[in-house]
Amino acid sequence: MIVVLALWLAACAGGPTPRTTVPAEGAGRWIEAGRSALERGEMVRAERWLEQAVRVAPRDPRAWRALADLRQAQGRWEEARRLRLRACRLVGDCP
Amino acid sequence: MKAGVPRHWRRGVAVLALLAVTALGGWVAWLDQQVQSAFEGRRWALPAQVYARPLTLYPGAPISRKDLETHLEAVGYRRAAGIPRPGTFERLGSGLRLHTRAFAFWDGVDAPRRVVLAWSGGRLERVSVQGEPEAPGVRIEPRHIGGIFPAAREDRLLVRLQDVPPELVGALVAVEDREFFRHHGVRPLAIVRAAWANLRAGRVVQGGSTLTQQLVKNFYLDRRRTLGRKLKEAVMALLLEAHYDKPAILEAYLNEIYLGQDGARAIHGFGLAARFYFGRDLADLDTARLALLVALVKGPSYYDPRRHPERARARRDWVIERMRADGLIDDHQALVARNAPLGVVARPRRGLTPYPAFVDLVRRQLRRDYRESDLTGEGLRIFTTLDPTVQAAAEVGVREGLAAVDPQGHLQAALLVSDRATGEVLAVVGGRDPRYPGFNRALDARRPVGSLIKPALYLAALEAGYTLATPLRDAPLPPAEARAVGWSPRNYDGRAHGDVPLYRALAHSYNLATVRLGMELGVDRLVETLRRLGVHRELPAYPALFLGAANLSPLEILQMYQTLAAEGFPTPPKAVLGVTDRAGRPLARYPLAVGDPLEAKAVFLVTHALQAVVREGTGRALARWLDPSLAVAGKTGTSNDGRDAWFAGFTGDKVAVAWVGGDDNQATGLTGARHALPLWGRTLAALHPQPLEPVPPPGVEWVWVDPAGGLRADRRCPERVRLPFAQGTVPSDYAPCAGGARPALWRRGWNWLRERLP
Repeated sequence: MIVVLALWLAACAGGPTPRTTVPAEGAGRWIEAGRSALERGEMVRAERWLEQAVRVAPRDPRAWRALADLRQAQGRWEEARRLRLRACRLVGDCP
Repeated sequence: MKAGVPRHWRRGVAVLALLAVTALGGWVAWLDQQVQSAFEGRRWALPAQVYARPLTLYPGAPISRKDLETHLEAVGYRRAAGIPRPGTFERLGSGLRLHTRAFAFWDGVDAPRRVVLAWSGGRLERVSVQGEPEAPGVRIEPRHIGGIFPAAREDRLLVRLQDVPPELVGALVAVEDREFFRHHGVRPLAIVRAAWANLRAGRVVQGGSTLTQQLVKNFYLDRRRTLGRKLKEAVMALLLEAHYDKPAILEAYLNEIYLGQDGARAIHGFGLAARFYFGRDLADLDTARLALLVALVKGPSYYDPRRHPERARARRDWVIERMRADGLIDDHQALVARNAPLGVVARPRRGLTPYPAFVDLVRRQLRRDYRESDLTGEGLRIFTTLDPTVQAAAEVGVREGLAAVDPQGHLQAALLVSDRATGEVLAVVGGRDPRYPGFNRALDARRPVGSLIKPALYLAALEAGYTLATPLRDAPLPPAEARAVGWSPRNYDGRAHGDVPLYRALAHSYNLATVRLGMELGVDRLVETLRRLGVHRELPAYPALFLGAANLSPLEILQMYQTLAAEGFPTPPKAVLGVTDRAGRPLARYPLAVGDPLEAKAVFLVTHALQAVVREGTGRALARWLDPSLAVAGKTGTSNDGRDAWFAGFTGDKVAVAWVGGDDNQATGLTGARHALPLWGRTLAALHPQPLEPVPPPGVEWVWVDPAGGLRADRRCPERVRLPFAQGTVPSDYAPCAGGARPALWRRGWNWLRERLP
């Protein structure tokens, strides 16, 4: 009885599970291309592709994280921090 | 005495002669200085050229083959089997093959590439770039959408002499000035001949001007035809020839000469004329087209090939004949050219820009970094965020929306659309006629915002520990308090609704509950919250501000809602991606930037309440255009006396603001739901928006509550609703319907009384 009640309560408290956000097709390729440009030190190209990744899949935290990594590499720490925050808020796992 | 007079006379004449020579010398020196300084310095103020956003092709891009073909043709690509050179494309089965042109973007030059595209069910499925299997996609050059012009409104596209087809130079010399390469600026004989011919005819039938004189006339002088001016022109022509060689003068002529009119924009030079009349580069023109351009020199308006094709054709054929007679072309080439059609393309978009409201925003954003003279004189190339598809939808939304809500045509409107994640402005409509370059209401109409301001107050409350279920009292202010603030607000329906849960007070836009909430929080708190949302204007810190007694522009409202839409990260509306100089060298980039975020839980909760506005509140009518499953968040706004109607809100991918009102501030009876919401709904519906699915931040839990008292509910409560709560604010008590203790009889009686007392 208690178990059933507990299950029932849990079901009530869970809330609507957010629909999983499916990253738009192709966003992964922009992120990949942007990251490898970043590794090669091609900052302008990395910026162009990672901003495109954010435009294509704004709900994909990987895109924001990659953009944050770029800002960090550019020494723009504050922006990197905010972009990382933007990424974790999309997943709901901010520290 | 008598003998002395002639000597005096002689001396006087000598002095006069000396003075005259000195004056003449001074005058010539002055002209010489004018000629040189204008010719040496930068000769033309080149307007900035403004582009829309580039078209990016990648697997999954929402673009049909037909739309891509339209774009390609708009930027001057042509169909050609085998895509032999850059700027060509061809159909291939259900796909497309494309040979892109080299193009200097704000972040570097994209080299020409061969690309194969395949579609599947309306979506682009495959994008393969030859030689670059890893390329994530490819950019196509953007549409040119206008210029930022100096006062003279002259537009030109500079060409270098070595890039000009020799045929054009030959034809020009043959028709306008046969002796050009031999004379020194003027041809006295030709002037005499022309004067004689004009005298006999009794009017001007012949001109003796050389190309050099024509250049001087265009370059330095006004249009009057006086003898003095003629003399000045001749002297200046001689001076010009004395200082500069023929190629330099010819190149200046080719770029200076006036060749047509496009609304307020004057078309100067052969480079721009080629684009304006034929949609092509000068180097790509055939003999017939080159001859038509030369024909236009005599009178661009009289021989306008669009308005007077017969005249233009006759003059063109005459030019072709002169070219043949001079041996520039042979008989066969002349025949082919005479048989060719005029080849003029349909008139391109009229005037300075088809998107004056958007270009106005671009200009203002760039004014922070550039001087006005740089914007209008240096030929900067400006890459913007405008999305022509979204702009077209916004224009249709405004036109059809206004036609439906204002059949008399008295009202004005403004509408802005931006990208939810990046803040990039995709479309701006500044009035009923989107082509009219006058008053830009999207930026400059500062009007009372009414209830659009409420989400800021409710956000402040949620940050302060209120919940969506907190009961707010929707009842008139006690008389003492009303007297103290000198103002007695009313609800739109004139009724008081008793205790209502906070989210419903916002969803139904109850004024009395809102003012009481505001009095509890204080007006300073509202002002401070608005500032964090990105509204930086000085606002009147009076209680009337709770109901939106503040004048803001649609752009300022866009900023406010953009912050809410972007999960609380202030993201300034941005219209410019980057700038290059006129040679395509990168000058500036404007990368994506976000500000310090607002508290995540409060933003999530207020977004939930804004979704309730559309689901069950004052924004319900949106269901007519947008499916409720999209869960749009929005808010209606109506100013006092119904002079201004607003709707602002966001979907999963777009933020938009619509305003409707009268310029004279006289319109009455407007409401946000009936007058502004339809424009918003029509526009967004045409864009097939993504559903809004806010992600709950950690520390948010969902609980069933009874809206009547804001206490926990279970399935025994017929009216129960499920609401998100920030951890630690979940009500602990159960509502009476869920077996909780009913309030004591005296408490219920007191509540009943309280709801009916003022």
